[in-house]
Amino acid sequence: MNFRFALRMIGRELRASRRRLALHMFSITLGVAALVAVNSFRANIERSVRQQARTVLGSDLELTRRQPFGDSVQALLDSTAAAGVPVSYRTGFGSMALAPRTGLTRLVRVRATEGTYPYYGAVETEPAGTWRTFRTGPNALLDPAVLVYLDIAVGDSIRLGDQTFMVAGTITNYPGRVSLEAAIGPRVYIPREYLAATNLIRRGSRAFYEANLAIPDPEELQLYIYHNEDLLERHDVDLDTVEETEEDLAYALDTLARFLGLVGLAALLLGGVGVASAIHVYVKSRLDTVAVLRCLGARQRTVFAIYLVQAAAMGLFGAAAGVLLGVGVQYALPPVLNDILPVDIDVQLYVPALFTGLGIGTAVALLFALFPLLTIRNTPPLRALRRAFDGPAKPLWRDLWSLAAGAALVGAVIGLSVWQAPQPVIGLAFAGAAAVGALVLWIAAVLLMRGTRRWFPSRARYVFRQGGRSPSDSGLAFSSSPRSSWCNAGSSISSR
Amino acid sequence: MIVAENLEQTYQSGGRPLTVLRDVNLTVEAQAFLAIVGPSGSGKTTLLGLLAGLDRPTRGIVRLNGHDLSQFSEDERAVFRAEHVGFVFQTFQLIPTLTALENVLVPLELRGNGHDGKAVQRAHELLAHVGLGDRMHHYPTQLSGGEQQRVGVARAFANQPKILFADEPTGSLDAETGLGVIDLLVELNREAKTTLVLVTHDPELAARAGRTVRLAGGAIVSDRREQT
Repeated sequence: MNFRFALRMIGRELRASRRRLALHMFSITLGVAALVAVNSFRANIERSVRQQARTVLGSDLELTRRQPFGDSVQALLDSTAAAGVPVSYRTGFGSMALAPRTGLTRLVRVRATEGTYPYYGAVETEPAGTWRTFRTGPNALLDPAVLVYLDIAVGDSIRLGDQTFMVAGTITNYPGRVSLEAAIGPRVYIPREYLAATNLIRRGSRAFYEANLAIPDPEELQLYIYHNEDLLERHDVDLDTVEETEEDLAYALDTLARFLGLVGLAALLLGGVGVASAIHVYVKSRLDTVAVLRCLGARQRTVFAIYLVQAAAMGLFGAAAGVLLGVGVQYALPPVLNDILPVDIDVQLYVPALFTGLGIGTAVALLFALFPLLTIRNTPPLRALRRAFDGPAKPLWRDLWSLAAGAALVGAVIGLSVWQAPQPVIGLAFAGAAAVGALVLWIAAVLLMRGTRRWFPSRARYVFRQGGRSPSDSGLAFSSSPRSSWCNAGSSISSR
Repeated sequence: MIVAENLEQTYQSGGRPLTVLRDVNLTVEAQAFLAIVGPSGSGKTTLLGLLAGLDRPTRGIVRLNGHDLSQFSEDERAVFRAEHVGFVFQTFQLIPTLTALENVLVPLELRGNGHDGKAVQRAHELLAHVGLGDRMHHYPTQLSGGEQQRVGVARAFANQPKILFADEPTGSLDAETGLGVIDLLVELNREAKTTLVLVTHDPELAARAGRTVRLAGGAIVSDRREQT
């Protein structure tokens, strides 16, 4: 192959076509951006969960029961507290809150608390410091949304059951997983000693009872669990440690991130179809040049390389733009998601995700470009003399290069799907669904093309007749070639 | 020297074989100027494509300067064309993304000679020779039809080919411009001692050739040599 000639031609062709090609290559940019953002975000979440696992739980051990703890468990907790281990209690249930001044009501999540929990992370309130002082009387701290729902302000009062509480302030940030609850229903915090006065907890009430213990030494914690596990299990008390919380949370967030990754992959594959369509149109506009080069003595692989490298360069360019966009999204996500995520995301550039995005974007662009680029290989030099001469058409399944390109594309889609999915089965199902989607679109495109050709009203106005019968201009091509139909199915997809 | 023996070319058209050339035998001496004429569809361009090694005949052989083209692969024929053959096309076929200078450089670069100052100098000289010394950095769309064809002629002679094939070189030009291009072709042909084979409908151009072969229905029906 004449490398120097190929390099010169690549430079010259890109000089003339880079804007048009770059515009089309941007179709993969969004997909790459989504992948980079999601994968970086996943890495950052994993690290943040590891670093802030204790903050997520707020304690070292959490005991939970659907009923009051009962005498024997309470005795254990009392003895634990007597031994100097901080023990805090929380009772949670749903109830209606009434604002006497406005007469408005709202279903809220009541959290009756006692003790210094959370031990890790700080509760932020408005006014500041109210978390430490609101339990000195019948006061309540609310999620800011409750103020809006009830049309009240700090200093007003709310009523829960039979007890009236003065609104001492609002919670602006509550560390740990409980922050997720705010997204589901607004919370009202009250001192646990006033819970009985509300008369809301009776036999059969749906409530949970929590005790949170601070035992920072892992060995002591294991010993404590070892000695008391049987008793706690006998009384249906659930135990949660920092490690379990970390695992559960990491798994849940990883699953979420992987599903988001599949969404990103879907965007990338759709972008790939856009690339195929763009390259198809580009190659069509270059077939005369290809034929002239072949006529003047360029080898088949030299000419093919000229256009393959152009597609790769533009794919790299589109993917690089996607990486930059993904990094931008990565920095923009935490402020949006911090309110619903249980950990504060410490955004750091996750370099492997950047290179992975760059590589995958370029590879997808190249693989999708390969099919239309193969047309170049089959362009005969005689076309320079006879424009209509395209050489003998070879069926797709008899062209080894087409088969190899198809296999590479299918393999890449399956591989990427499995890699990005939470489970291999889901990845395979995703790849299968993508294939079915592509098949349906292809059939729709073929039917549309044939239908337009057969049933387009011959008495329609000239403009419409031309629009309907000038396939390449309108994004539809009346072609009997399977490869052309495939690419044009892409163009009809990408134009949506 | 060009030798064609028992050439036959058949294409599939609408699922049926269509023979466009049949039993063509032709010998063109070195440095000759041959015009191939005939009505549309008589097989002129098909014959030119086969003689130039752009296509394989269904039957028969073509020898260029002693080389049997049927023995060559597609790529080997391409390399052979780069070294021995030049082309002038009816529709100029300049590469639209390249300047006039770069278009002329392409054959030199394909032969591996285009990467030094000598190649650029030769391209400059050729463009100056065809009267486009001041248009070297213009793109084809910035040139008139006649100017584009002159760039095409300069490109065809860039590699000092032993054989030049021209497919209706004046077909897209007005009479006056066409005359200028003919003069240029003949002049360069004489200077470079190239064998010139051209397909034309233009009787004026055919009259300048030393030999005229007429095709009809895919077969040679007359072969007339001018008395010198």
